[in-house]
Amino acid sequence: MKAIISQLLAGIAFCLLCSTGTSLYAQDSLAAGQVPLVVRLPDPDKLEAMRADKDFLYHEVVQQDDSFWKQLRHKIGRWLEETFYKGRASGFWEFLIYVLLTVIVVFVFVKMQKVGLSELISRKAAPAPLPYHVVEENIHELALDVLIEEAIRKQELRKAIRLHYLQSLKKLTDAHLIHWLPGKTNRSYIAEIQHPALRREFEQLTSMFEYVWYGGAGLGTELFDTARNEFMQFDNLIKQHA
Amino acid sequence: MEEEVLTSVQENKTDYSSLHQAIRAIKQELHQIIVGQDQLIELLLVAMLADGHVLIEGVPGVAKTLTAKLLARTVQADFSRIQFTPDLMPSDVLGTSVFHPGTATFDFKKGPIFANIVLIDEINRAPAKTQASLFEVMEEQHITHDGTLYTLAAPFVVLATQNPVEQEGTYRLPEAQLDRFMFKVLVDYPSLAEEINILEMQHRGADLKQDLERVQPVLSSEQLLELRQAVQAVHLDRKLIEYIAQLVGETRVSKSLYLGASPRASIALMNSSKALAALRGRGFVTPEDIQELAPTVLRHRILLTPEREMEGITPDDVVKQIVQKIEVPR
Repeated sequence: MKAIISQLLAGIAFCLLCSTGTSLYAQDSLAAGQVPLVVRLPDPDKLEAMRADKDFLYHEVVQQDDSFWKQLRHKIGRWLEETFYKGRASGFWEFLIYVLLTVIVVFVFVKMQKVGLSELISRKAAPAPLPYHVVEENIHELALDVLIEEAIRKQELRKAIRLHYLQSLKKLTDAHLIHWLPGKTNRSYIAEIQHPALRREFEQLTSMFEYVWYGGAGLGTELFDTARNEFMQFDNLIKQHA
Repeated sequence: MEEEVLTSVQENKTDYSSLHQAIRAIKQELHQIIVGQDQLIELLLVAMLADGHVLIEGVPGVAKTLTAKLLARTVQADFSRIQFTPDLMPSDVLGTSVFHPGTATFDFKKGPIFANIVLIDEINRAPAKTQASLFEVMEEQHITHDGTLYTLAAPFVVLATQNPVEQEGTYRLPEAQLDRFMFKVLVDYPSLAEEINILEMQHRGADLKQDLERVQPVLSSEQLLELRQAVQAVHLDRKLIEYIAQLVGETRVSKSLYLGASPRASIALMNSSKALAALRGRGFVTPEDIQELAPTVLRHRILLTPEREMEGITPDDVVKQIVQKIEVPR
């Protein structure tokens, strides 16, 4: 039953379509046959006036006698126009270009001023330089022998002990028995020495150096000579273990 | 031969052996009950010798309160304990004026803060209003109430415990208050061997109440004050003073930090280094003392930048970097 109804409806729809098409065709045939064709031409005066109007000039003529910079500016302008405006000029794209250009200019300026971008955004002010000068000594660049002799001559015996200790550290580093780093403490170096006898000797020297240098203990010539001998014996010990 | 030199150069130096012995006796008393936590105990003793307050942070159940309570028992001094709760008021800590009908006057009733050793348990459970009441007393050791100044008797030490801020029902302490703590000690879980030891003690039927009674005072408050004077006499070379200033100064210019440490931190590092040297029987400070205490003194006084925090870097990492960067004076 359903199949019969659907076939009937399809037939009615086909008949209606055919009848509509026939009537349209009949109307077109009538219009073409009755109305004469009139050829219309534009007014020559109006055409001339429009040709002279600047608004209708679509070809910009670049003056050949312009300077190099003017020509470059024209070329960049035309490139930007073709890239972003051609056929789709809208306020959004114009806005985007201005935003991008502003960001680039700000970025270049900030970089030239050597300011970190995170510092601009965060609340923290740019770090100020330390208000004092930090002197860093490199024991490998010091002429320690000369400095020790000079300290002894001036009777600066505590300083001489210090220089002897630095010399021991330098010799241990040169013999690859320790790895010199500015932030390491004396105890770190003791822990680095693998040979027990050498470590024990260096520990003793370190204790003496610390008493003299950090403890502010004074030294007489006799004690200094004893201490100096110890440093020299230690140097020989390093040579044996190097 | 070196011993001869050492003995000679040590002449005319203060003898710190009695201090060393007293500290050893305190440690022995504590270790009757506390298993492990050597670093915590040593730092608590250093702070007591250096006249500083200590903030102890750790998860619940790692003997923070017990250690602080036992330490207080080893010193014969007034002790009080305050449990900080969200509804605690400043007057509950400092004291309040009570009307006396007989004389028709207001009398000041002193709060639990009036003691030599004050244990504040779970300090970060109280709101900022109550925390602020501790500012004056922790720094100046007196309180002002109704225009009257009440000075606390020396020694005055605050030992506060707190749970990590990430835990439920806790507040972050204000920077001004954190700065008043000489140390922030982090308490970790015990090692496997220590935990086995704890379990064995409990299995044998150890009674904590009875054990607590066994702990005897080792020092009187007067003796503690004398030891503090001895600590003041510890020699600190000018080069090491500069070293401390450089370390703390570097926290103020570090790009990893939003807030650097204050001059109070420098003073705390200096005083605690002297106390640590004395505790180890030395009459002078070495760079090791300073380096060892730098994280404990600085970690709660510095604030990381949001970028570093997101990278998972801790204040201890930054302090370590700074310590490695600054040259040890020799």
